[in-house]
Amino acid sequence: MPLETPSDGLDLAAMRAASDAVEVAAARARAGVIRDRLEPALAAMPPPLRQALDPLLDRLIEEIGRADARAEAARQAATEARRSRGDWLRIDPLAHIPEDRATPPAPPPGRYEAWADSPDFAGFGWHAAEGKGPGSWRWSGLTAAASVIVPELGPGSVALELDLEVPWGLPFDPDAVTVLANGEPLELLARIDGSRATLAATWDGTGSAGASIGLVILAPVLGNPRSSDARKLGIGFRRVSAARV
Amino acid sequence: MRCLVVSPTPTHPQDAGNRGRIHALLAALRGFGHRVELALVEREAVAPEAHEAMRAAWDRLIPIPYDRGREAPSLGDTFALDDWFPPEVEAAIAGLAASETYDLVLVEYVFLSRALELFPASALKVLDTHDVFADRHRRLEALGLPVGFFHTTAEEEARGLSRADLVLAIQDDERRHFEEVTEARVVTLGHMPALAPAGPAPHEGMRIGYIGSGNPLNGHALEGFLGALDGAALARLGASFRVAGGASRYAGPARPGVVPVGGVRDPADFYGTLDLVVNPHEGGTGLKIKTVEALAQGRPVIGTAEAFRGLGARAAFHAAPDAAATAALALRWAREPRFRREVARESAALAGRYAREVRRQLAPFRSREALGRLLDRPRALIVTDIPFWREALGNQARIAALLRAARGEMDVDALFLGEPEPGAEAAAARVLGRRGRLLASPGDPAGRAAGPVPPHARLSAFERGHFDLPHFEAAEAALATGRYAMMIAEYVRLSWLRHARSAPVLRVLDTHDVMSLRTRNFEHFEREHFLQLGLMEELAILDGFEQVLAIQETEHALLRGALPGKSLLLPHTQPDIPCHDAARAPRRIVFVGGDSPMNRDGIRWFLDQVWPALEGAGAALHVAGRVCDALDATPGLVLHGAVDDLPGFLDAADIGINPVFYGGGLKIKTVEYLCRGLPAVLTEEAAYGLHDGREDGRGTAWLVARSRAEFVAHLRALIRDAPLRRRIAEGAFRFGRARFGAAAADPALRALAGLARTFQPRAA
Repeated sequence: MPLETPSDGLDLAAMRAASDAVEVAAARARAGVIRDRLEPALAAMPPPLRQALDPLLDRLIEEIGRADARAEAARQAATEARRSRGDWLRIDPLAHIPEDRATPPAPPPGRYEAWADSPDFAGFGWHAAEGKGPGSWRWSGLTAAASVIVPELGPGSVALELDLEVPWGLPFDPDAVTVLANGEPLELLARIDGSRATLAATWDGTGSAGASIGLVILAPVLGNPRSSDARKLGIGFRRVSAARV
Repeated sequence: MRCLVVSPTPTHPQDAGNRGRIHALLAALRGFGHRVELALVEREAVAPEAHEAMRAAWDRLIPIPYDRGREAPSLGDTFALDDWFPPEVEAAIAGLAASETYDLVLVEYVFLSRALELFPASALKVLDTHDVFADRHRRLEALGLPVGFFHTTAEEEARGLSRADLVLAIQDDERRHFEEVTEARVVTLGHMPALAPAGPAPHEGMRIGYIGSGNPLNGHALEGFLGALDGAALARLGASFRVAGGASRYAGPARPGVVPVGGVRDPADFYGTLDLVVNPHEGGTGLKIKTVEALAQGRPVIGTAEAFRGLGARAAFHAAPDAAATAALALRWAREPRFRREVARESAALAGRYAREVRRQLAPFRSREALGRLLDRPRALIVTDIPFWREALGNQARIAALLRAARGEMDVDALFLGEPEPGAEAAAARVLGRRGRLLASPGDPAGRAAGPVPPHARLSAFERGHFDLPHFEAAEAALATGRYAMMIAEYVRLSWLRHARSAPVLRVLDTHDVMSLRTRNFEHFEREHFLQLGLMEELAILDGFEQVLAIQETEHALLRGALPGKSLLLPHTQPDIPCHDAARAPRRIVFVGGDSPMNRDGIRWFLDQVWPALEGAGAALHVAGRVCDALDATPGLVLHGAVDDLPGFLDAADIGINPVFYGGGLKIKTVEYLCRGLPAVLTEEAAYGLHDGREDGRGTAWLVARSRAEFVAHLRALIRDAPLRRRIAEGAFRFGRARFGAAAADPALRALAGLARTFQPRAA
C-alpha cells in the first residue's frame, strides 16, 4: 500500500486535518442550534441595533459553539469507556467491520492430480470406478461425451496430462480422440502403449481467475459382441494431472 | 476439410486491414491442414503478381469477374442485401456448388451471403461479417462523413446473417449486436497480425506517430488530436509527432513538434521509427486494424476507447474518451519516463493477451468435429423471480449481465416466476438474444402455495420454507421438453428447483451471496436478515447442485474449499466504457442505492457523521436511487431519486462513495465506480470480495476508510489533490476492466458450456 494513504497510519497530517474538520463541523452544528434558539429574541430587537450587533453576535455564537463542542467532546471522552456497542455502531461502525472482510482468500493450488477413484474426482458421463488407487479406471459411454473437471489453478497456462485407455484391448488411435478444454480443442501429444496412451497438452488458460477446466473427451463408443460385458464403452479414464506453468 | 472461401477482397498484397484479416484466416485454415480454395469475386483491381501470389498461397484460385458499374441501391438510399450479388456471380458460384463438394464454405461480407444458399446443407456455412452494415450510411452521415462501400437496412442484414450456420463477428460488441438480430449462431473471431516485436531503429529524440489513409474518419480523429496537442511543448520535451500515409494532409505544414511524413512504402518501416503510436479514432464500428498492427509490431500504443474496442484493453491510456484526451496523454508520455515505461509494459501485455484470445477463437477451426461442437450449443434454462430485463437494481443488472455473457456460449431461455409486465418480452429479448426466449410462471395469485410437496422433492427445512408448488410445476413442465442441458437457479431461495423431475444432469446455482455469511454479518451489526440460513445447511444445499456460481473472490474461495470442483467465479460484468476524466475539478460526490437497509443505514451514517466535516470543501453530494426516499434534506445534498439514465448520472460524477458497513456478496455500485475509473472512498464492506491476493486495490484502485476520520480524510484528499485523484482513477479503471470487464465472466461460462456439451448429442 502506498505510504501516502491514511490507512497505513503514517499520514498524520491528513488525519489531523480530518480531525480538525470534524471539530469545525461539530462547532458549526452547535452554533446553528444556539442561533436557532436565540433567533426569536434577536428578531425582536430594533433592526438598526440588530444590524450593528450582528457581526459581534455571530462571532460570539461561533465561539460559544466552539466551546460547547469542546465541552461535548470532553464529555464524550470521559464517558467513552461506558459507551454501549450500539452507540459505537451509530457513531463509527466502520471500525467494527469484521477483519475477515479485508482478508484476501488463499490462492488456489497450482497443481492437481486425480485417479479414477480419487475422492475428489469430478466429471460427468462415466461408469463407476473399477480397481484401486493409481491402478483404477472408469469407462465412458453413458453419454455422448465424457468430462473431467480440473479445479481452478489460477490464471495462466496449464500443462495437462491425461492417461486414457481404449476399451476391449483395441489399439489406441490418437486421431480418434478429441479433447476440449472449456470448449477449446487441445493440440495433443500422445505417448501410446497398446490400448493405453498418455495425452499431453499445454492449454493457454485464461487471463482471469475463478474458472475450473472442463475437459470434454470425444471418442468412439464401442461394443464387443465377444465379451460377457454387454456395455457399450467409450474411452477409459485413468489419471489426470494439471499444473500451472 | 475442404474449404471454399468466397471473397470480394483479394488476400494479396495485405496492404489493407480487411485483406490482412482474410489472409490470416485462410492461412490459419491451411495451417490446420485444410485444403483452401479461394473464389475471388473481382470487385477490386488485382495486379498480375497478386494473382500469382494468391495462386501460390492457396490450393486453388477461382477468379469470378465482377462489374462494379452495376452496383446500384435498389432500396432508395441504401442497398438491398443482394444488390452486389449479380446473376453472373451467382451462376459461377452455383456451378462450383454443383460440381464440387466442400466441407466448409466461408463467405466474406454479408453482401455475398447469397452464395451460402447455393451449397447443400452438408457443407458448413460460415459468414465472416467484418463490420455491421445495417444503417452504416446513416451512421456515417451523422458523423458528417461521405458514405462509401456497402450499407443496407437492419432487416436486410439480418436476412443475410440467417443464411449462415455460423456468423463470425470481428469483435465482441458486434457479436452481441448480431445475437440480438439473428437466430444464427454467432462467435467472435478477432484479428491479430503475427507478432513481430522489435525495438525502434536508433534515432534522436522521442517519436510519436500515426499512420492512416486520407479517409475523412481518419481526418476527423487526427484534427481532433492535433487541435488539442501542444506541439511546441512536445518539441520542448524533445519529442515530435509524425503523421504518415494519406492522413498526412490533415497534419498541415510542418511546425514545431509536428512532422507530416507523407506516403510510406511499408507501414512496418514507419512503425520501426517510432517510440509511441497513437490512435485517436472516434466513432465507427469494426476492429481498428491500425491499433492491432501497431501492437503486433511491438509498439507502445495509446488511444481512445474506440480505437481499442474489442481488444480487452485495461489501461486508462487505452480508453481515452476522445482524440483531445489522447493528445493530453501523448504530452504526458513525453514528459513522464515512468508513464512511458507503463505504456510500453501494458501495450506488450495487451498484445500478448489479445493474440492468445484470437488463437483461442481460431482453435475450433482445427477440425470439423470441433466446429461441430461449436455449433452444437447447449441450451440452458435459467429460473428467476427477478425481473432482470429492467436492469435497474443491482440484482437485475447482475442477472442481465450474466445472460448477455452466457448467450455467447450457449442458448438460454429464462423462466420468470411471476407475471411479466407488458413490454417485458421485448426487453428480455434484448438480454437473451434471438436464440433465447422468456417463459413465465404466474404462480398462485393468492401468493406462495407451499404445498403439497411432491414426494420426489426431498426438501431441506430451508427449502420447505420457500417452496412454491405452481412455480415448481411450471419448471418441471419446461424441463420436461428435454431441450435443456443445464438449469441455473438464481439465489439459494430457489434451490428447491433442484428436485424438479426431468431436471438436467447439470444443475447450477447462481448464489449472488453466501446467504449464511450474510446473515451472520447482519447479526454482527444487530440487524435481522430476511433470510435465516446456517452455513452447514447452506453448504448441504449447494452440494446438491453440480456447479455453483460465486459472485466474488472470497466466497468463491470458501466454496472452492468446501465443494471441490463445484465452484466457479462468475463476477458481475460491465460493458467497456471510456475512462473517467479525473482532471476536471471535483464538484459531484455520488452515491447510488436501492431502498435496502444496508444502503439506508450506510448513507444516513455518512450524512450524520462524515458529511458535516466536508462543508466548504466545494463539492455537493448527489444521491440516486430509491434510497433517496429515506433521506431528509441536508445542506449540500442533492436527491435525484430513481434515475432513468444511471450511466449519465455516473458520467457526471467526480468521486464515488460507498459507506455501507454491513451486507455481503458483491456491491454492484462499487463495480460501477471501478469500471468507469471513478475515484472512490469505500468501506471494507463495500470492497468485500475484491481482494484475491493477486492485486490489492486498496490505496491504488480505491481508498478504504476504516473509520469516520479516514472517510473524512480520504474525501478531503481526493477533492484537493488532483494527482491523487488521477492515480486512483486510473488504478480503479485498470482494476475494474481486469476483474469486471465484459470478458470477465467468459471463463466460467465456457467451463459450464463445456461441461454441458458432455450431454449433447454428437455433432455430425
